[in-house]
Amino acid sequence: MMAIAKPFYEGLRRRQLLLPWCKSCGKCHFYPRSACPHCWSEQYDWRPAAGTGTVHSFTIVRSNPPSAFRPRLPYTIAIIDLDEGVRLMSNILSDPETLKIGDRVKVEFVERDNEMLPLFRAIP
Amino acid sequence: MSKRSGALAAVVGIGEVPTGNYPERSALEAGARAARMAVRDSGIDKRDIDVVIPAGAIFSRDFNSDLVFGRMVEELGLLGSVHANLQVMAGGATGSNLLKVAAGLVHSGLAKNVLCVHADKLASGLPIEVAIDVFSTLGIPEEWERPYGQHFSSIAALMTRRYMEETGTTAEQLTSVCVSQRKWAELNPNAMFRKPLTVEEVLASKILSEPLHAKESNVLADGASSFVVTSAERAADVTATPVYLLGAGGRVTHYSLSQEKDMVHFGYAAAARDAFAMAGIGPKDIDIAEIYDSYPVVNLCVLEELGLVPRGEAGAFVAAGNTWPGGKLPMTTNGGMLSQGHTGAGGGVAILVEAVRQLMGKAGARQVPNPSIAVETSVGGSYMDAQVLVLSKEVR
Repeated sequence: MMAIAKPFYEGLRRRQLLLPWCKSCGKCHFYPRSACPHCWSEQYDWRPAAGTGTVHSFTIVRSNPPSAFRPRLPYTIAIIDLDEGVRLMSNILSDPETLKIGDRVKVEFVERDNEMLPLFRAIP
Repeated sequence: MSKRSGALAAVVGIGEVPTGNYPERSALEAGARAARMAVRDSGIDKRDIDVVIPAGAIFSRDFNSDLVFGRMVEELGLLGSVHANLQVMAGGATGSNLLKVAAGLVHSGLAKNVLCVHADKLASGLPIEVAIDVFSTLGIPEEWERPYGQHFSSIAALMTRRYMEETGTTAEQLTSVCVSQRKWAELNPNAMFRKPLTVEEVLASKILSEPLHAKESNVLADGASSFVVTSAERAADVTATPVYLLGAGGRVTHYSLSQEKDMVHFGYAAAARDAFAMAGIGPKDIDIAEIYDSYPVVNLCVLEELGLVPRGEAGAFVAAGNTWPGGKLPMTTNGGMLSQGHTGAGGGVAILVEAVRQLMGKAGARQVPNPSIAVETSVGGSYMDAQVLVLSKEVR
């Protein structure tokens, strides 16, 4: 783990999805880099995201996953555009058969293998 | 990178061993054989090779260390006359980048003749379960994507679904890329898969990650390929069939797929603009498109981004047979990684070697009639970059 990303993981344990906003140029980025990719400042203001976003693409994994994921088949990987304008990868908890690109999703915090993860569910 | 540069270098010799599952063949012997073939093909005395560039190998850290530390030079009997042995590794984009680096060396005069060689053993060198896990970690960020089960099939699936959504391309049209590649591989004695393949068979194969079918996925293979690079000035004195590098372009657009701003178009249009401007050509001048495939969506994206086919029409273009043997735009004529086999960094080296082979007129049963200009593309990692080279039979 990068030291600068520590507030992100601590936020997850408090069920918060924190995003790094650069104190120098004011821009947000994700995932957290060792310095702001826009201006190279190393000072962030960590602010909670709204937790809502839009599905950019997704796939239902049916077979040949990494070995650690075999017991989880089938599972859904999605690339999500958060409303703050940054993109991340996650899993979808709701029914993937009705999921479409462009669907609105909301974060849900789930503990998996002793790690708190920000997963997403479609907003009905 | 935007003005016409003249020929940057020339490829004057190529070599390749069959791609497939060869448990009895060591990677070192395969690589050395391909290298000897390339040097013999060039007509250059082996003692005139002064730089050796081994591509990165994935199956074994020991073998890769051997390559870094000069084993290929020792194996080939080139000790004392080679002044530098250095590795180039850009994953799937290694072939294009090998040629860029070698061209820089010969163009500047830092090297006279450069031997580029790749060997890997991804079919028989490591168990399949290990291979899947290797390819679900390499190039996939540990903190931001691996916890969600990302791996190479899901990378291709995420790209494919978004491409289908934006272009309206159908599943049948996507699978026609696999059929096109196979038709070329049927004519390629070095290919792993040579039995005819139909759209129906691809669609009937099991789903890996929706919408990707098993037969839309490349298969890991053992293989080795090699080429020799010399200066454009020297090339015509060395061989009757030099192939000139006229232009090169590239864009690195992400490391993590989730950081790609545009996973339908990537950086190909910009890379092609640079390469075409350097070469002084346009898409209409291209006789063969040697596109790095790995999954069908990549071919469709590249056909469109290079301006060879209007955006959104590549699926219909391939499904109509335009890229097959005898078609108006021959594409990936060795069968690509979908049919010749995926040898790691070598998949792209093999496609570059094939582009040169076609321009040299040495492609045997699959020789395209008298091509003058080939475009070669490649990409590494989770489609992190877009590499575009323009190769020509003549200095233009």
